[in-house]
Amino acid sequence: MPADHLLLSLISDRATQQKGWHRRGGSYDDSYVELIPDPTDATPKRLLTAIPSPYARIHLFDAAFHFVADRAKTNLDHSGTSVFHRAVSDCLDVLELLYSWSSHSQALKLITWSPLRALPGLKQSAIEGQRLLANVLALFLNEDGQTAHFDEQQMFYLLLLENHVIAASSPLTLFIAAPEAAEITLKSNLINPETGQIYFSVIRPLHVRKPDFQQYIHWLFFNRKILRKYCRHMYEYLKQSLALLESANRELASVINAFETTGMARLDNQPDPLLDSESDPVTVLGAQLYERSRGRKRDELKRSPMVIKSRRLPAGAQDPPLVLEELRNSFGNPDGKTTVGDVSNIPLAKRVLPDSGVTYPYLVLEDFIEDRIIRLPFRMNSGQFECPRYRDFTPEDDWSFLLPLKTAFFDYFDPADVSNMSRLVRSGGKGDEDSVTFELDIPVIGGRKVTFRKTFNLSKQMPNHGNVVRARMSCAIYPSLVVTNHEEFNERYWVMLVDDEREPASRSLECFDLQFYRLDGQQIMQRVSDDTSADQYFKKTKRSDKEDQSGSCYFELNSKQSKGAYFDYAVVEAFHSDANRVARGVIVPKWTRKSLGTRGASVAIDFGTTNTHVAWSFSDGNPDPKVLSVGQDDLQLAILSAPVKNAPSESARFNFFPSELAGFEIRLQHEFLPAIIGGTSPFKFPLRTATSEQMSLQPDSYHLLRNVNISFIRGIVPHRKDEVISTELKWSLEVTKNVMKRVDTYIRELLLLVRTKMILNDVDPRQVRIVWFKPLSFDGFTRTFFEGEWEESVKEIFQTSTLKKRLLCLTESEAPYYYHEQAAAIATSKPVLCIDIGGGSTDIVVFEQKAKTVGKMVPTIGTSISFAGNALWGDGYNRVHSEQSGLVRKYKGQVEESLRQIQDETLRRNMQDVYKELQTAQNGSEEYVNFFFSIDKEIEFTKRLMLDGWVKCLVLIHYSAIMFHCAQLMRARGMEAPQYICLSGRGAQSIKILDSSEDKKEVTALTHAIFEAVFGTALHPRITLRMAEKFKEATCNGGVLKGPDDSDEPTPVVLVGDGSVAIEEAQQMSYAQIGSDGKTLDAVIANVGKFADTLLQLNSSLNFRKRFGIDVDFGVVEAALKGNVREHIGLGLQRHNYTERPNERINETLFFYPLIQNLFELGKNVAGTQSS
Amino acid sequence: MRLFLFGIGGTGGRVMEALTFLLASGVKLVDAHKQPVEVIPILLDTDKSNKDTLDGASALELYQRLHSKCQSAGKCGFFSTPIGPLASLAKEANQRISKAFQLNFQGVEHSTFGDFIGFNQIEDFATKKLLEALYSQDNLNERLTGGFLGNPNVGSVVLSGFQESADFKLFASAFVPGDRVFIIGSIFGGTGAAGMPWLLKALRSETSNTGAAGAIREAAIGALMVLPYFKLQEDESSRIDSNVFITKTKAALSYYSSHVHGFNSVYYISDTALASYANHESGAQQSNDAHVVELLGALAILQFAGLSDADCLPPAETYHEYAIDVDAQILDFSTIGRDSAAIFAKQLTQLQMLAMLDSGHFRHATHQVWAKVNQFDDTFFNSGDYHDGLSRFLTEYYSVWIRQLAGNRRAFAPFRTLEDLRDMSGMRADRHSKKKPFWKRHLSSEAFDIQANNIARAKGLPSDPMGRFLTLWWDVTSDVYDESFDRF
Repeated sequence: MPADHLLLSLISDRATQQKGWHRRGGSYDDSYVELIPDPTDATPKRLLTAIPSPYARIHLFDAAFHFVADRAKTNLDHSGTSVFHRAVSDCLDVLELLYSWSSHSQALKLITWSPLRALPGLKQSAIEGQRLLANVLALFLNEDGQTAHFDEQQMFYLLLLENHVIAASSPLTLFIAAPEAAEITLKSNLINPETGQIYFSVIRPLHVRKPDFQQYIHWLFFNRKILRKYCRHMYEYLKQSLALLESANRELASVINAFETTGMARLDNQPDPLLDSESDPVTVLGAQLYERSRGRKRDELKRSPMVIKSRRLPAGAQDPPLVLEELRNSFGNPDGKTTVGDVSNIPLAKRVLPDSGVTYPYLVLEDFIEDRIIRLPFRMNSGQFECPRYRDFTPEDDWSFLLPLKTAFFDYFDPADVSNMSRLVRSGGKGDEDSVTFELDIPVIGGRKVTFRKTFNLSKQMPNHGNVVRARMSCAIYPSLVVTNHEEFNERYWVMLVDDEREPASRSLECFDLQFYRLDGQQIMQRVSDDTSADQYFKKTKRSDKEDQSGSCYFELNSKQSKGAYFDYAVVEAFHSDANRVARGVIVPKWTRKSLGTRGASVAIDFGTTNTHVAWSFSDGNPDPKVLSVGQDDLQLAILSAPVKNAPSESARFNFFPSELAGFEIRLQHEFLPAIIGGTSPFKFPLRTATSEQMSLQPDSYHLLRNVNISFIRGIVPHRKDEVISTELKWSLEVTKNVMKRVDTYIRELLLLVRTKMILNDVDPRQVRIVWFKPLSFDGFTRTFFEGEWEESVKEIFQTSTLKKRLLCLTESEAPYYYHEQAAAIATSKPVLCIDIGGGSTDIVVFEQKAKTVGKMVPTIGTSISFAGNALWGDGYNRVHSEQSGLVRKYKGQVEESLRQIQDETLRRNMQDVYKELQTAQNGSEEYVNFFFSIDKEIEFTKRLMLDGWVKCLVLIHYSAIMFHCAQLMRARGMEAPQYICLSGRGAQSIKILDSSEDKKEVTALTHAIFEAVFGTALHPRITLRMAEKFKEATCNGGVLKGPDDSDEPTPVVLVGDGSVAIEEAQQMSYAQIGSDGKTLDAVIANVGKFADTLLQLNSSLNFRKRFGIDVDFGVVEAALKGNVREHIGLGLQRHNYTERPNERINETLFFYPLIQNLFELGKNVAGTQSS
Repeated sequence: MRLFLFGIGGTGGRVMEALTFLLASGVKLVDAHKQPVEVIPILLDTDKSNKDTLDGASALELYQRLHSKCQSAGKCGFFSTPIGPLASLAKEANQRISKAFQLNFQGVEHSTFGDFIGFNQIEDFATKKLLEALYSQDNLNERLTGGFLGNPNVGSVVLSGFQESADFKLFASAFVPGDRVFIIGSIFGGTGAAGMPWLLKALRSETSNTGAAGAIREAAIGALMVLPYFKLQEDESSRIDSNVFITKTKAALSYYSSHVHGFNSVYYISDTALASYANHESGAQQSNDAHVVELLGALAILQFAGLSDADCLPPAETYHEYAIDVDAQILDFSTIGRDSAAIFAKQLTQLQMLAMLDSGHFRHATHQVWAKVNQFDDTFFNSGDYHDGLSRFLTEYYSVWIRQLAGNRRAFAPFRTLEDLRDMSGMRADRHSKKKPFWKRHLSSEAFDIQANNIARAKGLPSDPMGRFLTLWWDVTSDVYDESFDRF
């Protein structure tokens, strides 16, 4: 029969012989279904729930595998976009998600649903629908128990993402995706770490997936063969997939094929069992599921070329962070879609990679770059601080920016890296000084650099831009030196912070603060704390408030000896109380790093009442004493602002600042220390002995360089109202505690300057010998006390010495001898007399040839007298300075006039200010004269005096009295007259007024005559005077030059004043004895008279008028010298407190007591004469 | 024997409607022993306003009224097969039993599926998550008012409520061994697709102990699985996408093939010559024209009823397809399948004749002897039984149905529309009425009058006027048909 009838069915070939209702061989089974052409392959709108079971979705996924596999039967191809292809892909996505389990960051959970647990309650529900539901769920589990394998596994796993279900287990396809899975994963950004795509967003057949995942899926079906039956459609798909793999990845295909041929299967990556939320292994249809070895993804990321290339990692960091770049994935491959958001508020360990969803640390721009940048009104000092490169700036652009780096930067990079890694690009127009782009190159191990960029404007212009905050501040660091191999020399640093924000709103606020950071032993940046028990700590002292001038505060960083106190970087915190301006910036000092040299040196410190001098010399090579100085090449101070461009001198470059930094300059000069000392600098040694300190300091609150410092500027500019200047610094136990502190400060600061200088000049501080000078008048106790003080300071600052005698104490008068000796200016077997005329005392030492040692001179005796510069220029015993000396009265007016004539306006104003200060302070005449001499160059004071007969007369009397005394001393000791007399000390300068000749011929003649007069015989050879051009330096240099083994010290002796016997200390008389015996005083008075007579005698023999131009009436002089001698001796004893301690030995001659007052009286004659 | 006929969803209703017309025309529903079978239709649809099911139910109600007038059980004739609503089986009146053929689902109509299952009140977290894995949010938020909108997974749960209903319990308790069940539904839509496997599983369930559950488990159960035969016009906004009918069908068939076992006789029918219907998700507007597939589906019921027990009692499994004789876009009795035509061509032609006469002749023939002697006067024709009964059935239901069949694609157009009943020889599309001797009237209204007059006084006509009328005209049309047409 012809098949001319037509079946009413869906298949294509419907011709039949059958008619009407007729039987067919069987049901419409799968093979029939395959014959039905489906018109909807292309673009179905939604996944279908065509199956009349509550478990329809499970069947649908099964149907999907069936469908896709069927289609591939004729043409092996798993690609396609139908709902079924999507369902297959979704199912594989679930399995891949599970396989990548530990790589995900989101809250994923695998819970179970069991009908035995869940249904009974539901069946009892009061809600009918719930009861029905329970029944139907149970009905289908039961009815389809065999066909859908529910009997094998009635329990379901439910995969939750943040408590939303995205998948459930299936007895037909292992797992199915939940209907809303794609939406949920999109919303939670659940990314497949292997592809970077959100799960369920892309259709991918199995054979294009990760090889290890493919291997795993095939392995599951090999290892648990029953799956091939239970999940037969899926298995069909797998077999096809393997065939597809043959061409896609032959190697992998053969590995998988080998499962069958060898009957063995092993997974390459040694995966871990997948566990559910109860930590039970996840088993579907008896097949245990696995996940990739848990650390695998991490290991992979650890090797990413985008891993930061840095020397270290922050504390506690497990994995090296990645540096992500826009539009590139975690491995640096362009993916065109990765966007990197601001995650800086999320802890590194909790960050989730945006491209893969894996929790793995990564760094973003916001980790490193601040939102605000601090703009400074000056150029930063790139020589001493790390600065980014400035691009598109011109030399005229006199502003700069603090590094807008967050501290996290230093978790990875050294501060020194900053300049190479960053740039500041001027991004505004010509007139816009406040637009800048900060660029930071972060190196990654793959060799590339990721550049983070942030643009800052005065007013934020774009959402991602930052603000420029203008700030008026600066700072300086002392010292700028780090000793690389001996941390004990890095024990203290000071940072000066100047706040120049003086707008009315800011004036009362401290606008800035500093935080210091240091890389610790574990390579972790630590913030330095103010806890003094810590290894490293800082102390902060506010010094000056902002009034009409900038404010200042000082940080002192300390550390234990094993660890230096320097910092690697500091954070400037600006405007913390102003939310609109609060900003942070980083300062990175370029420390001068130096390892300790090996040379030795000698340093002499002459701490004088008026002036202080420091000289030094290497201990090896030619002794060549040098003044302590700080130059451009061995800078000790680091200043944030750049040196002044095109300045005429070194000093002008470093010590002075443009007007924007006027407030800084003031604080630096008054409260800290100058950058350049010596050379062209106005700040130089010898230095006026003075300290500056904060107002109202208590003795126990003195802190070096925080609230008290050497005043280098004293006498150059007037002192400021907010500082206390002290000049009354001396070696004495009879001063207040505050003065002691000042002396201590002064010495320590000097020692610090010296130490730093030494290290910078390759000297090992432990190989430095310090020579200090004491007046001969020191008694034993005072000497021991101050020796102790020096010892302590030197030990503290120079550390344990390797020298046997590192601290040497010389008498002030002794030192110049060595200077001259070294200069080969003395060659004699006769005694050498050394006289050091200081401000307050004159020290006398006699050197004699040491027995048996030819040419070797040693100090034998010494004496100290309170008759020095003060006696010549001061106010006698007049302590309240009620009456100024004649000299001051005479020359004051002239000096004032001269000051007015000074051309340089600044200089003039400064000097006038100092002078005014002198007047208001009611200082003694001596201070006036000191001032006049200090500006000698400007006012030619010395020149004027050289023309003043009365002044010359005073100088002559003063000088002669000292020589007369010395001659009497030597004669009384039975010594020969000296062949050489070394003169030193500031007071000796006055000889110049008497005799301006190079060789001091006239004064030499006078001296010789005095000695002859005293010795009463002609003396041969003739006495030679040796004067160092710079008296102060002679002392110091002599100290430097004294051989280290010269341990002889002069025996202190006192010539009571009667010219007869010079007695040693132990035999000196007490005030009580002098008062009781009556003879002594008379003899002294007679000796004073003898001196006056000798002077008159010499005048006639030498003719003082001719020789020195002294044309005064010597009768007046004689009368004055002989007048009231007894009374003045009493006054002197009183002044020296001997009257109060009658049994104390008088360690000073009484000879000069009357002269002190009488010189003052005589000086009144000066005022009465006309100046020429 | 009784045949419990479950019509699920729109398709179920429409096949039931087709069966109604077949039975109205006098087609016999008999068992293998040619004993009449009582049909108890049960229409299941949660979509209460679905016009398809409403029409089916209304026609059934009219049928029942007319059937009750002709107490001629076992005899041939219009409306002769008894069709009883489920309620008629109740021994006592029970308000919860539906009087109509369509069963209620209380409270279901206006809630969502989520509300229905009390989703938010489910306490067990895992259960909630399981449901969210199985059901989409759309599923859960779907209003059940409109059926299941193509989501049989929802329907499988909701319909199960029927098992808890008084109706189902009545069915279960009334069921006796020997009774059969036949389930009708489409497998590409929502309600039917959902109900069919569920109902089968519920009936066969070992755990069921309602009423005569044992007898039911052992009973012969047949099913008509209607596969796609129409499509909906494209409508982007509609949740029903007829493009996926085929896809869904394949998925469903695949599921059935693996997981639905227990039908003793399955009848598949579909058609690729697809009619296109307006896309109405549900409700009053879902009114698809009658289709020949439904008519053929109704024939399957007849076939099933006539199977021997051996052929359809468990574990028997038979599968059936339908073949038309000619692949024509417009079918008539000669092409729809000769065997089928043999079953219903004569009866349907008779009913068509009745309908034609009703519309154009009877009311003008009250002077005829057959009218006079039987008092078929104006009063009769205006009576409730006639005017609101038979005439309404013929004009508002049958004629509409037969017209729709003829107008659909593929069409079943067995009759031609005639302007003038004085010549009805062309009423059949497949053939002209037989040529007759000149003394015989050819097929016309006059021929019917003559024949009617001949037997108008025949004894044995029922006393009830309507019963008498139907019996008379059954005989008349039968005779005229035999004179005019050869048997198939």
